[in-house]
Amino acid sequence: MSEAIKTAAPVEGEPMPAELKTAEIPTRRGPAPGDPEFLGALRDCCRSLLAEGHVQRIIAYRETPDSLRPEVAFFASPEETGDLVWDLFCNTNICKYLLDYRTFEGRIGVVVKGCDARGVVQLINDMQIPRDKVEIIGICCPGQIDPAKVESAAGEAWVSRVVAGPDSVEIVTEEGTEMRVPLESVLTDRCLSCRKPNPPVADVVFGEDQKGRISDEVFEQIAELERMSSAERDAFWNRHFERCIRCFACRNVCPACSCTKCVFDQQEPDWLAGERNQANQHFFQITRAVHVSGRCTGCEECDRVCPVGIPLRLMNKKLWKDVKDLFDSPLPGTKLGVRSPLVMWDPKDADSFE
Amino acid sequence: MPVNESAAAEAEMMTEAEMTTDGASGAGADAGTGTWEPRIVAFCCNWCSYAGADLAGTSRKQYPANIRIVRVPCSGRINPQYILRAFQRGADGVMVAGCHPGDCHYTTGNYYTRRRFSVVQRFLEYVGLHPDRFSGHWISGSEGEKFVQTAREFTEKVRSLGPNEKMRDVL
Repeated sequence: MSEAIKTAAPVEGEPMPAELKTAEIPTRRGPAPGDPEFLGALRDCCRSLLAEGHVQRIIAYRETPDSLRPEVAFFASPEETGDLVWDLFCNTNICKYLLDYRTFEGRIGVVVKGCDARGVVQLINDMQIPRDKVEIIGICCPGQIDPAKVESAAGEAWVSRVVAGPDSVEIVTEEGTEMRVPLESVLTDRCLSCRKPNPPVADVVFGEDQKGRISDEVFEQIAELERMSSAERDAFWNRHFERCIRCFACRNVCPACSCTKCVFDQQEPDWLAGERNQANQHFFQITRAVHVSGRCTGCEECDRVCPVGIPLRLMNKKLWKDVKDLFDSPLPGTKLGVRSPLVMWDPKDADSFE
Repeated sequence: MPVNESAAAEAEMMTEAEMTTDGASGAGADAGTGTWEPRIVAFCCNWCSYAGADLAGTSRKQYPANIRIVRVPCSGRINPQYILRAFQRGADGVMVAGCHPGDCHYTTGNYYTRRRFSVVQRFLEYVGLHPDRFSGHWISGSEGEKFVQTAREFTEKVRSLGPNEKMRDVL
């Protein structure tokens, strides 16, 4: 952040509440995912947090009969933590569930990857939940596996379970055949270009800092789009936007979409009409993207949950790229107490007005 | 009020609800007569740009009747959704005008606008809107001549692009 923004910030807005100014809490460290002791240590940690009354709920994952798809679970007592799980299939970003606990009297523990932790920090920075109400149990994430990629690697056979190693994964089918594929070939798209796999803020951390994967693939795609003519870009986005069924999954999972009254739900004025035409599809997509600009943590959960495969990452990352270039601000969710660059200003800002 | 009549007709203060339902009523597209004229919505801040348009009017300076002014209390009041709505309801071009940086009636409103506008402008271009259809201008209350010039240039730019179909509801 430039010096000017730092000095401009206190002039225009209210001071940040004291709770956001707390010094970094010293974090405890546990074993890394992949370590045989990891899951036991994670369960012990959650169990003792609940047993000792530090937290009254824990939001984490639980095993399901489908080993490729653990489910999000809410643990209220120490006895329940026996089937808590964390493996390389915990794709869901659970930070948004914190908002269901706005009025909950008690503290909530969340088991988060690097990307989820940014969401938690963003919710704290957006003053949706106080920092001291959340116990952040962070995991330095080695990357998550896309179940669809595993299933397509297995071909016709049903996948029974997957054993992940540091560089490769072993896929065991129902018939008992085993195959080994490189880890990179089954990682989710977002993990392949993940630069920040470690929780930026946490009370407990499992594992040592991961390096992350430096891939410019998304930004290369954005640059390619930028080189196109207006008409080509129009055709590109029309093709994607027209598929939107407006399920609002992208909005519902987004840690930056935390308004209690969303513009798309309003009756008066009715900003978004029901008819599925070009105008309304564009209005929804553009408004959603612009509303999260400057606060999008780049977790790409919206892209993952979109049932019709709209490349939302290409919009969010484009907005992030512009915000970063124009206002030189840190990635949202990587620091406590940072305000959105779009609610700040600097007399020396770039000026595209004529 | 600006002397330019069609501009003045659009210049009444509107509520948000009215803006969303007003649609393309009183349109000047003249599609039926075969002479197409661009329709341009200009969001002007009450204190500078609207006063600039007013000065153009009282000075008897002609600017194209294609410009429909929507008066807003401050350029910071311009929600990006207004811009989208204008395009939806038949605008061929949208202009945002406010006080020069440092001159905001509310001290800092236009600094926020500048940040928001920079982001939205690049993004609209990215999703396929022609960059010449959307522009921002700093026009003070004493710059009647600049308002006229800006209105003329912008109208001609949009005229050369033809009717806008991107995001358009009423075709």
